[in-house]
Amino acid sequence: MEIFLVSVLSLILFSIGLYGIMTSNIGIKMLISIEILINAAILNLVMVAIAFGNISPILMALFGIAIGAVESVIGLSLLTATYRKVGRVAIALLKEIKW
Amino acid sequence: MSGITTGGLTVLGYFSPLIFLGIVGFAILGLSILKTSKKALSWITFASLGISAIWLYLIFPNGTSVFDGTIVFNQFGLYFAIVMIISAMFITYPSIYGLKAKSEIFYATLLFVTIGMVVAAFSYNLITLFIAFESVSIGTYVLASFGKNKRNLEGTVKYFFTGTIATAFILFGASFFYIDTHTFNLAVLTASTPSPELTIALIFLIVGFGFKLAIFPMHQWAIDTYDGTENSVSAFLSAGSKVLAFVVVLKMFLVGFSSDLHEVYYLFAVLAILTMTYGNVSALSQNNMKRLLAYSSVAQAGYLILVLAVVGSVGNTNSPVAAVAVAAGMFYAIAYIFMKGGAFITMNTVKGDNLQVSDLSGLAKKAPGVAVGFSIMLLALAGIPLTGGFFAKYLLFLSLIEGGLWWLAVIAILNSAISVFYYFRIILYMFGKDPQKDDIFNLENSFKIPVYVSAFLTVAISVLVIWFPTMIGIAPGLFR
Repeated sequence: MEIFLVSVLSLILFSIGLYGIMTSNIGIKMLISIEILINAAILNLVMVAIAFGNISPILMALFGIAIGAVESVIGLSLLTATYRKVGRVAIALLKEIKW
Repeated sequence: MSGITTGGLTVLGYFSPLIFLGIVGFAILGLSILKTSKKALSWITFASLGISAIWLYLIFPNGTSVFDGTIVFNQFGLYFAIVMIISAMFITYPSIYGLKAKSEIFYATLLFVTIGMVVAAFSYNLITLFIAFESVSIGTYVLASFGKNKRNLEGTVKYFFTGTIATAFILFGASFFYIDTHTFNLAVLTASTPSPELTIALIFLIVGFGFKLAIFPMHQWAIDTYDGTENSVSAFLSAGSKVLAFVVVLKMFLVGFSSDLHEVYYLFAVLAILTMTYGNVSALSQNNMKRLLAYSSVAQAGYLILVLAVVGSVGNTNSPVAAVAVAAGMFYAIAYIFMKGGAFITMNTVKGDNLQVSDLSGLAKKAPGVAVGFSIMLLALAGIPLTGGFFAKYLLFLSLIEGGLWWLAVIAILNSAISVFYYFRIILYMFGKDPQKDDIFNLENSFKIPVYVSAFLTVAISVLVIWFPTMIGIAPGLFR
């Protein structure tokens, strides 16, 4: 039962992250939303580890945290590059590629 | 998770080709002090990739599994490891053209990405699979961002944001996979009946891994990214990284979900039809050259995942039909690398960023060899006989019919027929029209030779069809 409740909690958190990504076009906001997405998954993994008394979901969660950190680094550097090109961190201003 | 126990050094020895690649990668970063030319760096990268492929083949401990079955060295993995090393070797020389500065970072990242790919080919555990997959993703974000103009940046930003969302989906799917199976090891056959958790895991993992493979609802980043990035990086993203995603998807859904193959079958049959049809129909109305190739590569991903539909519909991973289908996928992967990668690399011979199909008109008058080579690759993509692409498609459709999915085979063949139209349109422009401007083609030898080589390999790979029975023997290694 607790598994179900925490799963629902992390699914709600996941939906909040997805909503944030879909509705914003400001780079920093999108990065924060992605962190919410990854944290929702990590919350679920840690809950699973506690519920089943096994260490391997915790391992997966640790690697998830590390990879999330690396992705924020790359994201921030891409946003810096965007700022240099268009003067703002608005992703929506990048619209060269069209059909 | 026992780690390195008895004979730790021998286990380390199994990974020596990868350690070698890592050392060469750091050495290349160090070489930037000496201002080594990018040509020399590209040859160092090429040679070290070749050495590591041969090394991997020579020391290969067939059938050994290390770290509690996390990594299994089998011939199936070896085949795909070598195919992916070849796909990285394939772009080392052509990428010189796109690199304006910091080429050592490009080549070092390429080597690190290759390490991730090889690890993914051998891993049978969701944790290692996830780490290897993400190390490739992160490396390819860096590779894609090479280049100075706005289009490169835009393509990379789109790739990055969709890729990170996919990461979150994979992590979330993994947690639900664990709730049902109580393990991250894919090959452990759990006797679980299909449960709602497993279905949620299936959907989340398909979304996560499908982003990389660019199957239908998750394909939009691929179009923009292949269009925006440098030609050689597009070649790598569309060839090497897609084959990696294909291997991971095969492992994840055929080995990990072997208790639930019926849902895999329904989902992948529908996704394959949608992806093929969407890719081919959208490519028909494209005038932008690289977007056309991108849509065609979406369609090719649709053909690739037919393998999962066949194995899913058979429902038994031990049956010979499953082995034939996986072997057809293996052949498709290697043919696909040369025809698709070569087609993107050929775009180097035309100047400018936003290439239209009409920009290619008159290529046959200026450079007949390049035009013929490009035509061979396009014909291979369409599946015309005497090319590697023909045998790849033939074997794949044959396995569909053997698996009793003749209706799916009919849809796939109709899709191939549609694709002939847009490939022939390019060929007509190349051979039938006059050049629009005088100075639109890059026709130095350094641009021509990669085209000749990839056209030659596209044709030569069809010889590999003699070894198809051997591949059928290797293929069950996927399921262990």
